Amino acid sequence: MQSSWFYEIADLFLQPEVSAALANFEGEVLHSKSNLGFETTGFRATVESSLKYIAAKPGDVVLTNDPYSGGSFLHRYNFLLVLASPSPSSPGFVLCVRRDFSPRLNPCDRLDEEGLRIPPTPIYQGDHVMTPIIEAMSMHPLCAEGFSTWLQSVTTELNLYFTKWQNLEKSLKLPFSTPQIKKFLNFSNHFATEKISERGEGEGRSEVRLDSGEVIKLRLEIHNGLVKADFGGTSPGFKCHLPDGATFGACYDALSEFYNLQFFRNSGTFSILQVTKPLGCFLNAKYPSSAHRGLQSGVAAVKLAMNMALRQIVKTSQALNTESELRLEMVFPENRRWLSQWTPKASGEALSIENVEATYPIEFIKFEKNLEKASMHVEFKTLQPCQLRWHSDFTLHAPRLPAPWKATSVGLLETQTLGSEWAKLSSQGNTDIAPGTTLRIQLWGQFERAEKAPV
Amino acid sequence: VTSFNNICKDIQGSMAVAESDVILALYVGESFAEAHLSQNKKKLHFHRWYLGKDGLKGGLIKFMQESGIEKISKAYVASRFPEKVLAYRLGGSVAVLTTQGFENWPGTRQPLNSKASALSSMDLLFAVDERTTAAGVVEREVGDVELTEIVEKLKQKQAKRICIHFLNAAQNSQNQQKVKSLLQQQGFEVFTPDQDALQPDEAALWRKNILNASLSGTFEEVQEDVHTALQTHLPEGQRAFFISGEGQLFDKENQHRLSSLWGASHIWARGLQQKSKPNLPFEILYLGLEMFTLLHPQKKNKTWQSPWGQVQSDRVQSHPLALQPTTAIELSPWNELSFSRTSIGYEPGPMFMGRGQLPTLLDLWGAETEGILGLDDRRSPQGLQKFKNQLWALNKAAAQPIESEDNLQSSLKQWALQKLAAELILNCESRKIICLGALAPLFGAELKKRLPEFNFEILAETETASMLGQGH
Repeated sequence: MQSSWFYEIADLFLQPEVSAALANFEGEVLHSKSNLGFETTGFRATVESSLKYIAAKPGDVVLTNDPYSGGSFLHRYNFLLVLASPSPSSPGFVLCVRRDFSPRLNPCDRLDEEGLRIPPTPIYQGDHVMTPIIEAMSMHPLCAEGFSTWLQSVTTELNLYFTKWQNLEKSLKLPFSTPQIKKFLNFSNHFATEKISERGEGEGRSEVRLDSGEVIKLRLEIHNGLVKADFGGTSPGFKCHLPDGATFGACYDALSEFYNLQFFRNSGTFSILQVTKPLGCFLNAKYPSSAHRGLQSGVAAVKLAMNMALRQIVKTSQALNTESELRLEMVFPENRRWLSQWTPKASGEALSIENVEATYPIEFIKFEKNLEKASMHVEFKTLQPCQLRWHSDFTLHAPRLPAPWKATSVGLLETQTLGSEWAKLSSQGNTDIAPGTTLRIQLWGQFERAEKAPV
Repeated sequence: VTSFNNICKDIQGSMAVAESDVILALYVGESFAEAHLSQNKKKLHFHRWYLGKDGLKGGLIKFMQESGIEKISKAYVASRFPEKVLAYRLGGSVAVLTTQGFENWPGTRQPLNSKASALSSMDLLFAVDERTTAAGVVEREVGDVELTEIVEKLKQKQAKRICIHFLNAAQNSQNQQKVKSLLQQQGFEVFTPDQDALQPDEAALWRKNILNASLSGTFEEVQEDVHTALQTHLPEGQRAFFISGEGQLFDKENQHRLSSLWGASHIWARGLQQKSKPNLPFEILYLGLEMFTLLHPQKKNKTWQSPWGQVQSDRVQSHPLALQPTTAIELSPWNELSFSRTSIGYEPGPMFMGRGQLPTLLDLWGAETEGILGLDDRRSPQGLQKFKNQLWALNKAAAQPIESEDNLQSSLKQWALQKLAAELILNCESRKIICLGALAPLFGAELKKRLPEFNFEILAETETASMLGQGH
């Protein structure tokens, strides 16, 4: 019962968070979750890189957003809270919480130009907020407004987590010893291995070309429930760079969705996957390359490559979806910014048309989605001049797909000024938009079958 | 926006209760109903019954007969039965008119992984060529010809209830009013979103509107059952009042039907707040037969995360616990005995009640349900034995089975209580917990032992319904 018990408690503990993990001091992820699935494997690097140089004690909080230390987009900040130090009987526990603050679209070539990069930095130590450090970060020209106040409020919430953990330990006498944790991770690994091996084994290959010119080549091998993804032959990065941790995360996320392992994201299940990325390829990017495009388009492309290869190994009736998305930032007078993300899968769930219209000079004309085909069509008009920045992928060419799949259409972002024809925009860029201009977004999310798929 | 306190004052003014008045308070759950008769806040009669056996009307008639009371002054009803309707049979004949270009919004805005069937049938979604801007300027008025055509289509589809969802109608309802008036003239029942709600997402209001419309038919049936059962007992011409999640009393008003789901929690929170010391925060742990939930009386939820997406709902903040009375016991992915994520309800219910096929959390306490109305009379020795056998068989299939039957049941009980305790530690913001509900005496006492740092107050099982009739 110990494994289930540990899982239940960890799941309850992380329940209020969207993206978070419980890990031990060695960096082993014991339970994790995220609305961006590729992020969960990165928590290990976050813990390792933070605790390697910082002697954090129970209650201390370390902050980082570095994509090259297990992070994600720069606007997604990792807070690491030490819950319990290791002891002879316990591995020590750490809570990682990832929260969004003031997201922006700022495409550029260097990470440091994209936004404020924070390597692992203590912000709360020995019951004290590290005010000078927080103030220094707030002074950075790329630091978002209100950052300092936001950090203080998150730190207060994390203090509550610490108290709750202590209360759990005291009241329930938590039996989480090192051998029990190892057993839990072994069980998880065994569970994932069985799930994968029962659906067959073999080899698959795929190739995906991005609009920015990079090409992914993947050889996927599944044997005895273990998965090896080899990206040998993948091109270097031109505009798109993906840190290796995120590449691993994207591969695991694709596997997890395919084999229905979403509830079990821990180091035990992660260890069923080995990923090889040649030095110099864009899936093994190094600082100081900007990571935003990689984390958006690169992750989507890796997941598509994985899904294509998986379908050569395992016969399935599951639809083949693209994870590609369009990000759009409109900057209106007085620096009012509207950042929106569009995917045929999830767009619209949380979008309030009335709220957007009340906040920004925008008027929606149409919003349609076909859930079966995962396609989306949106039109809206700008009522004031603005600067438009956008980033998407697969607008130039559809990926080369194995039979029976075919890519019949591509994503489109178009504009139309009064009295003129629709003009197609490239996959990324920025431009000035005149009032009265209509923007049209058409995205596809699912590849069609050219023939009856094997079942 | 009318404040809650003002509403209460209005209600109290027009509906004050005299000391001699006999009050009926009725709590209708998905599978059980509880009725409480009181006079001057003193219990006259109380009963809880299984709806699957006696039904609501039959059970209520029987209750009144057994009480020996002929006349009552008022009847108050809090109900959770809409939940059952939402789960099994959403009303079919609801048509939706939406601003053109956005008419497919129920699908567009539905969460991707939702397993719920669509909120509205595609062939009952209609586009209307109209538009009002965010500033409240009517850019396009509804044309008379188009309106006539729509009415024809609605008649062809035999739609009875119509929801109107026009963008920015809260800023200027001119188009909405025009369509509403015409449809009402044509005999349709028309539902429009709450104009005063401080809700930033129109879809949350629109979903609530559709759900209110979809619940209408069944809600009216239930109201009719209550009315028929109480007709001879209530003063002539008076009907029972239902309680909304905002604490309003209603009967025919169709905009409160969905929020009646949270009516009871509102009254409990208000009643206990009035009784407790000022500035002494507390939480309510509701341990009913059908649901375990933690209520934060001082806080409000503005939305309900429904299977169709966010729904506007101004209600007392609640946190349903991970373990529920009818949570199934199963083998986990680690091949260990554990509690599932699904609650199976009472149809057929826990095994100790005789008809159930799956072991549940409540089965672990099956032998200790003596005296708990609704369970006591349904407990069967065969059911208890069947549960023991099935749990033992499940245990044998586990990777590391527990050696003895006694240890097996006590370990699982221990584990369930630990998990419930963990959830209280993680979610309670105060040190005082007031336990309420039919299972409060059983589970509340166990939790009190495990969590000495909390100050537990366990209320009698009759209080659940009793409070519904007080303070109006």
